[in-house]
Parts: sequence; C-alpha cells; structure tokens
Amino acid sequence: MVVIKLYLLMDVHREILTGCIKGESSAQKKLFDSYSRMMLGVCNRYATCIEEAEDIMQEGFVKIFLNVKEFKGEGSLVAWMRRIMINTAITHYHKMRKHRYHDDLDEVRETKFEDHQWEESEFTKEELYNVIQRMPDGYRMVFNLYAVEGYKHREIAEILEIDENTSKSQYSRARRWLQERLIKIKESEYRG
Amino acid sequence: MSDHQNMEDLFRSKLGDAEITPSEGAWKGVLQKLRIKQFLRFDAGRFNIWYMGALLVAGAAAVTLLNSSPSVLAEEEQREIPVTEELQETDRVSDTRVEEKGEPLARPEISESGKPGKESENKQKKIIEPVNRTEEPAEPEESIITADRKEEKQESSLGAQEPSPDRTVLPRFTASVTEGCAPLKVVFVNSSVNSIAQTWSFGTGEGSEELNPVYLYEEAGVYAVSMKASGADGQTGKTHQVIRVHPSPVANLEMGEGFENLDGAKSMELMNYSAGGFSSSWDMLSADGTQVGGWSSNEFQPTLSNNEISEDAHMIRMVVLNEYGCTDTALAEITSMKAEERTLTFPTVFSANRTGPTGGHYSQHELRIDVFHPHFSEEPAEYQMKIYSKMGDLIFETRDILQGWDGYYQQDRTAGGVYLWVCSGKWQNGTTFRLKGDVTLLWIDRR
Repeated sequence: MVVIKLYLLMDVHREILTGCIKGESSAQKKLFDSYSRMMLGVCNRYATCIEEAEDIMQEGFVKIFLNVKEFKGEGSLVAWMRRIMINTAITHYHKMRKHRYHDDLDEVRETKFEDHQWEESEFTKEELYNVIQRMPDGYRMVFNLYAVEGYKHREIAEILEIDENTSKSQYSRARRWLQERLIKIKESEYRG
Repeated sequence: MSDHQNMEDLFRSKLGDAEITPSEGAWKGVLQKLRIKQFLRFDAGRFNIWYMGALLVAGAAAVTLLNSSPSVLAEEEQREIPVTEELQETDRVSDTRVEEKGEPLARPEISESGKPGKESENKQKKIIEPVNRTEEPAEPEESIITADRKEEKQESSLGAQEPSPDRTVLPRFTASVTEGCAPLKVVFVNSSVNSIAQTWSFGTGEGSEELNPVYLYEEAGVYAVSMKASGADGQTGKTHQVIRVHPSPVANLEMGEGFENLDGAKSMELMNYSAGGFSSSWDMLSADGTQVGGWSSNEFQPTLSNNEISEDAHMIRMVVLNEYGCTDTALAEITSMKAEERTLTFPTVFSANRTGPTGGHYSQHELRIDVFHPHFSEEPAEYQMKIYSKMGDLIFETRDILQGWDGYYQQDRTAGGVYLWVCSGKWQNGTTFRLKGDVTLLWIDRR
C-alpha cells in the first residue's frame, strides 16, 4: 500500500513539477498550497517571529520557482524544497546579523550541565516555537541545523561561515540556554 | 522510560514536521516577490539596451551631420572614431553586465573606423545576443565582421570620397523563432539595407537565395544560420544567428491485455513505448477531438477499467513531455474495449415449470430456463424489471437482476401467451438504460 501511495505522490509531483518548469502559475500555486504549511513550520524555527518566518518562506518559494529546473529528481522534491528553505533562512540570518544586536556569548552560567530528560507531552508545539524564537540568533541557527536538521558541525561551519569549534561551543551553549528556559517554563506552570 | 527524551529529540519530534498555516496574503506575497525577481533577472539587460540604443542613434545623427561636408571628411572621420568607440565600449559593457561575456568582441572592433554601418550592425548584434546567451561563437563572428569592415575600409580609401552611408550594405535578418522543438519551422525575414541579393546557409548544409526563406529543421541541434547580403556595387556583408532545435520525444502507446479486477470489472493496461520522454499525461477524447472528462492519469502506464470509459469517449490520448518542454502525442481508438459492451438480452420465449413457483432466483453459474431472466455481461448498478399482461396488469416486479419471473402470479399459474416486459436501470459508469419487449410463456411439464 505504501509503495503505491509513494508512486502516486511521485506522479502528482511530476505533473506539478512539469508545470512549474514551464512557469505555469497554476502549478506553482498547487505546489505552494501543498507545501506552504510544512515550509512555514520549518521557517518558523529559524525566525524570531511568525511574520519574519513567513517572509523567509515566501522568499524560499520564489527561489524554488526560479530554480525548479535545477531539480534533477535525485531524492525527494520535498527534501529539495526544505533545503532551499533552510538556505533562504540562513541567507536571511547572515543579512540580519549585521543589523541585529548580538549577545550570543556568555548568556548562560557556566554550571555543570546535566542533560534533563523531557516528556514529549510536557510542552506544546507553540511553547517550543516560542522558546526557539527567543534564542540568540547564533544559538538558534546552530541548534536547528544540528539537532533538528541533523547536520554535522563540520557542515554547519561551512554553512554559517564559522569555525567548526565555534559551532561546537555555540551548540553546547545553546543547549544550556534551552534547558534553563525549558525548566523555567515548567516551574512557572507548576506554580500556576 | 520510552517517554523521556533529551532536548534534541524533543525539538525534533515536536517541531521537525510541524505545520503552520500561512496568512491569507502569503501566496500573493510570493507572486509579488517572484515578479520582482524575474523583472530584475531579465529586464536589466533590456533596459540598458534601450538606453544604449538611444545613445547610438544620437551618435549616428552626429556622424551623419559631420559627414555632410566632404572636404573635411578624412579629419572628421578620425574625430568620429573616439566618439563611436566610446559608445561601443559602453555597449559592450552593458552586454557584459547582461551575460558576463562579450569582452573578446569589443577589442578588435574599437580599432576599426567608426561608421554608421558598423553601429547598426552592433545594434543588430545586441538584439540577438540576449536571446542566445552564452553559446554564440564569438570568434567567427568577429572575423566575419572584421573582414567586412576591412572591405569597406579598402573601398573607402580607394577614392577621394567615401561612399556615402546610403549605399553601404547592412546585412540584417530576423528569424521567426530562434528556439523550439523539433521539427521546427523557421521563417527568415531579410531586413538588410542596400542589398539586392542574398545567400543563406541554414547550418545543415542546405542554403537558399530567396529573400525570405522558410526552413524546416527536422533534427535536433544547434545551427548557425548565416546570410550574406550583396549590394549593387559588389559590396557584401554577412551576419548570423543561432537556431536551437530541441529534441522532441516520440510518443508510442499500445493497449495491453485486458483482465478482470477482483470486483469483476474489466480493465486493461495501457503500455507506454515512448522514447525520450520525462513524463506522460493521459486523457480521453471524443470523436470530434474534444477532451472527455472522467478519466485522466499521469502514470507512466496506467490501467483503465471499463467503467471509467464514458459513452462519448472515442480515443485515448497520451502526451509525452521531455525536459525541454517538447511534446508528442499518440492516440488509440477505444473500440476494442467498447466491443465488450454491456449487454442485457432477454429471451423471447420461456417455458415455465408446472410443478410450482420457484421464486425465480437463479445465479450466473446456474441459469434456469424455467425462469424468465436476462443474460448480461456486466451487472448494472441499478436494475428493475417488470412484467405486464396484455391487459396492462402488473404481474411481476423485481429489482434484483438475479431474480427472474417463474411464470407465477401470487402462487397461481398465469395463462400462457404473450407478456410484456420492461427493464430499466443504470450501468456502473452511470449511463442509464431502458429496454422493453415481449415474451411468450409456455407451460411444460418437467420431471
């Protein structure tokens, strides 16, 4: 059953893809309608607010439409689109870096870090989005790329144009920062 | 515990595939941004060309004015060169900005004398260049034009007077289309100035001497079309254009073997023997070629079942598309499938059994001759059959196709003779039917 579903999905993609290559706006809209929710979900992790996330998402789709000819069909279309979204988010981050004030460093007490274990039900999607959006930009980028996207530090270093060691230290700081925040949220909830 | 996760897992599981509905105006925003990007990509070049074109015209006007006094021609010419050189350089720069190439073209030309003829040629080249961006063979073009210019220069240095700009041959032509799918028909329109004859070479080894030839490129490829225009005094000028013909796929389809589905419906596989395609789209056409709704597919080799074929479907159409956007179409008539049409036939005589009413039920594997029932190839979605006496009384009625009439009416034998039957219903694909006829009932003894 799953095989058949995939096959059908590929064909739906192929039709939309062909239309997008030709620049047909009906095909473009179909692609957008099918995947904008997922893509916005991705962008929201990289942005500081939903409006910025939507901006990034729109730019990402423009890139997708202008470069759809480059998609050679290796791997899934969705994965390709996601990569473009993430690239757009990173470009956006690079631009913003110059304008936004950064206090990436030393926001966190240097205590012994014990990895807290969480239950999935402890936090809502919205709470997690909120936390990640409040993270210092540098931490957020590294955390997303490492923990959610699954890139290695060497790759992250290339993407963000930083040193590999910087990526590693940013990441461990990001975790500490997150853990503190998550604990705080739990505590305030508990207190009612 | 399986519940507990570390932070990475928490974020990955909760946010990794999270979906958020965008705002109302999100799509519009995408379109706006897309249009801006597209405008910046393509029109930056064109915008500069109009601007440079305007400068050129101004330059040409200045040159014409200066040329009107013959005595100071030689000197004037020298003075002209820097002006036009500048223009040309800037032309080249704008072209460069458009396509990041074109520098090699610039140098040799700047050293040549600046003449209105050359400027117009440049203009023509500029119009062509954005169309065929990177693949134009820059080198041969230079040599062609340089040669012409040398010709012009020699001629002009022979006499004390320059040939006036009016009689210089300016070779120029436009192609109706410079890129397309094979087979590609191209109409070449000669817009040369001061030419009385022309020789064309289409890049395939074939040529023509017509004014505006039409050529059909059958094979895919990149062709350099050149035209040499000849003037009244023996002058010639040559120019060229690249025509890109993309390969078209070849569509080929065959109807495969029919088979029966689990639910009894008949299906057929459509075999795709196309070449060079990247995606196929299938649909059905009526006898007059218009698209018929109800079935379409984007699968490579779809299966088509009987009940997806509507009444007015006459042909199956398959369109194959390749990565260049070229298509080819194949058609197949649906007769073979339709031949196995739904039929419902009733006997005209039947012999009921004296022994007693049977209820009239039968099965397709156990047909009963003592029951009046239809023979059918496909079970309809809806069915109703009524039997009337000659007087018009309703004797029997059923909505079950597997129930026929055993000749009895409320446990009593009806009289032998002619009865009328009416049968109506709907097939699986939605078409309705209504049949009627008569049947003669005979009573016989069967033991």
